[in-house]
Formats: sequence, structure tokens, C-alpha cells
Amino acid sequence: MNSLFNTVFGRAKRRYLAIMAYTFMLLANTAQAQTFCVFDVLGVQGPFYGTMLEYSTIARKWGVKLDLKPYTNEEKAVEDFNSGVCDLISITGIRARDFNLFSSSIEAIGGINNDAQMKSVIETIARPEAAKLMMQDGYEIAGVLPIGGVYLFLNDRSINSVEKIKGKKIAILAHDLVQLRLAERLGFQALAADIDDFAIKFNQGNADILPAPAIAYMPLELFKGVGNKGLVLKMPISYLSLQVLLRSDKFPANYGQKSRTYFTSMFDSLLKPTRQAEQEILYFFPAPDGEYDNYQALLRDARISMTKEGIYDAKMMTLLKKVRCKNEPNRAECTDGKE
Amino acid sequence: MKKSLTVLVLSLLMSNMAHANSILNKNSANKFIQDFYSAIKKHDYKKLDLMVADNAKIKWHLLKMEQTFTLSKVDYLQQIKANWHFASQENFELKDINYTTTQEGLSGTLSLKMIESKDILGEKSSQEHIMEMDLVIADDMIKLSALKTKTTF
Repeated sequence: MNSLFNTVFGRAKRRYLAIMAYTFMLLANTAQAQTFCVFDVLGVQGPFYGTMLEYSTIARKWGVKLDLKPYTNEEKAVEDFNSGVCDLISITGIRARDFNLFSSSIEAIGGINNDAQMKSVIETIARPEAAKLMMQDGYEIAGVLPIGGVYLFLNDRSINSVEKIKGKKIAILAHDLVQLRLAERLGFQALAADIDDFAIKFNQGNADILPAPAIAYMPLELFKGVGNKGLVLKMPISYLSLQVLLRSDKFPANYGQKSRTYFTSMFDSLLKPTRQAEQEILYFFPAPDGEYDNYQALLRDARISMTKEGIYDAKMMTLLKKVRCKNEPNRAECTDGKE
Repeated sequence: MKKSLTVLVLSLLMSNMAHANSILNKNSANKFIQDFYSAIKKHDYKKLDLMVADNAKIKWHLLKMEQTFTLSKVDYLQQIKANWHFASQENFELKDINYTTTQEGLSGTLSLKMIESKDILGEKSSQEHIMEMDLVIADDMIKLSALKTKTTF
């Protein structure tokens, strides 16, 4: 009886000690809040900041307290992340390139053609089997959020074929090497701009073409640049994303996986503002009859050569092709082994 | 027995009346086109959505560019809606309306000239459209199943 009592008591004691140790461990992890640097051009009023605020309440349930720090300047946010001010950061896929080539290559030219494909890719890379690909050099991608397709805004609808598009002036972001190489590959005349005058250059007629997502249409008044003579090509040339990046040593194990799963489940609600913005675009037309395949071939050639140069990740290119071909099995590319 | 026979006759009569409402002929096709542009002017999206068949194909041939764009119902209605946001003083003048039957009471084609004028993005705009509208009876109502337009847009 005594020995039974000791055994039971001993087990209870060990269990108690284990629970205490686990609680102390959790407290140690959460005692200091992690700084989450959130980039949103509209600051605390912006949709991405709102999304991250909601995310911080979910993170609390996982035992992590996040202190949000808003940034309207993405470059500054990245600088602060690099210098250790931020433990977690949300930035565009373009900027995430320096931390994870695989995840940032989701934005490859012509890689994704519609929302369903984007959803499928995000779901695939959020699976636990893909976790290794989301970690690189002490950093981990803790979520990929859809921003929507990038469309070509044209100031003249007579620019209506692959041939006529060549040599036209395109406004691109000067800091983005990918855009610059892309402009060269597609035969555009690149006009470097920064985020502040990128749209102004198009609206004032200095650039003939502007690649931009639908959510930029009303805030940047891109309808002014398109005018009554232009057109917006309803054929995404790439898909933009917002990526959440963390320093692995600052978060509990498995935090990144929980976070990726959470953002994946939010896909449809995250895309709502983009879908609404697409409804507002005037002169939003698909490629002219007979031109769609020409545009796709142009984008594909650029993508393949940029992958060869190491600008895009080859594994991601294989995944994107699988998803495109599952969604549209009749695509010409689905019968060759080029990607 | 007498009662059930009366119910049967009445229901047959009612079903014939409903059918009669949706027969496609010159008059109903004319009424359709007037209602269609009236719905655009009134920004009545729900009505337009019902008036266009889900699989409708809209072909816009731009005369200046000698190029054709093929739009789905979704693309077409999105453009109509975007116009509501940016345009004002919209007016549609319908001329030379002709109706040709392709299948008695069930399908036909309207041909017409439409002059659209509006103020948009700070400019006065006027476009001429030469149109061919294929109409069908679907869900017991007249619907636009195809639109081919040659436009000065």
C-alpha cells in the first residue's frame, strides 16, 4: 500500500515538476514581446497593418506576444530587421528575395495566372513537408499572403500586341533588379522610378506602360494615366505577395508552421480588397484575340532565362508549372519538360 | 373530380400565359433592348445580370485598331459597372433596330446602331457602335447570348 502510494505520489510529483518547468519555459519565451515590423504604405490605417494586428491576437494564443511597429517605408523596415530592431517583419515578395529565394520566386513572371493557382501554390508551400524550403540561414518565412495580379496599364490601346509593346517606356522600381532584368528581357525601355514617383511618371505621360496591382488603381489614380485612350490588360504578368519573415532563434519551434497554416486559411478574406479593386478598373480588357498565346510565350521565355541566371528558384518554377498545368491542362507548355 | 379538373385547366392556362410572356418576337426583342439600356442608365446591376446569359460571349471589334476583344459576361458587366463609377450624363441613342428570327419564338438576332455619349474622365465622349445581339429564351425569359459590336471606341 505504502509502495503504491509512493509510486503514485512520485508520478504526480514528477508530473507537477514537468508542468512547472514547461510553464517557466513558456514564461521565459513570452516575457519579452517580439517586435513585429509591419510595412504598409498606408501605415496603421492600411489593410496589411489591420491584417497583422489580427494576426498578433492569434499569435498570443500560441504563447507569443507581438508588438507591432508600423512602417510606410519598406526599405527602412528591412534595415531595421537586418539590424535586429525587428524579430518579425512583413514585406513584399520582392524584398523577401534576399532572405528566401524559393518563397519570393512565387512572384515569377507569368508564373501564376489566376487566384485559384495562387491559392494552390500557397497551400502547397504551407504544408509541413515544405517547411525546410521556408527556412534559410536562420530566417523563416512564416506566411505568404496574396496581393493579387500585376497588370499592364497602357496609355494607348494601339499598343495591342507583343510586337508593339517592345521599345515602349515602362516605369519600374529602381531598387528592384528583377524588374530591371524583366524589362530588358521583354524588350521594354526601362524608366527607373522610386515608389513615390512611379505612378506619377505614368500619370503624367512620361511612361507608356506601368506594371501595377489592382489595389494601386484608385489610391494612385492610375485611371489618369490610362485616360480614355488607354487600356488595362486583364492578364496578370505576375502575382504579388506579402511575406512574413522571422528570425528563427527568436520564436518557439513550430511557430512558423502554425503561422503559415493560419495565413493559408485566411487566403479568401485576404484577397477581398484586391477583388474589389479589380471591379473598379475602367477599360480592363483581356488580351486581344490571337495575342494571349504570344504574350504567354514572351513571359515564359523571360522566366526560363531568368531561372537559368539564378534570379528565380528552379524548385519553385517546377511547382508553379505543375499548378498551372493542373489548372489549365491544355496549355502548350504542359507537354514539354522545359520547366 | 370536377374541382380537380378545374385546377388542371387553370394551371395549364397559367403556364401558357407565363410562356406567352417570354416568347421571342420583334416586339419582345424591341422591349428587351429598351429595357437593357434603361437598366444601364439606372445602374440596375441585378437586372443586367439576369438579362445576360452566363455563357454569353461579347466580341468588341475596335475599328481604329482593327482588333477584336472577346469578353465574358463577367468582363462585360464589370466594364459597365466601372463606367458607372467614372462616367456621368450617359446617353444611349438606339437606331435602325431590326429583328431576325432564327428559331420561331425561341431565338433571334437584333441588329442596331447605338450612339453612346457621356462625360468621362473630364472629357466628353461619343462612340458609335454597330451591333448584333443574339437573343434566346432561357429560364423562361429573354437573355442576351452573344453580342458583336463594331465600335469607334
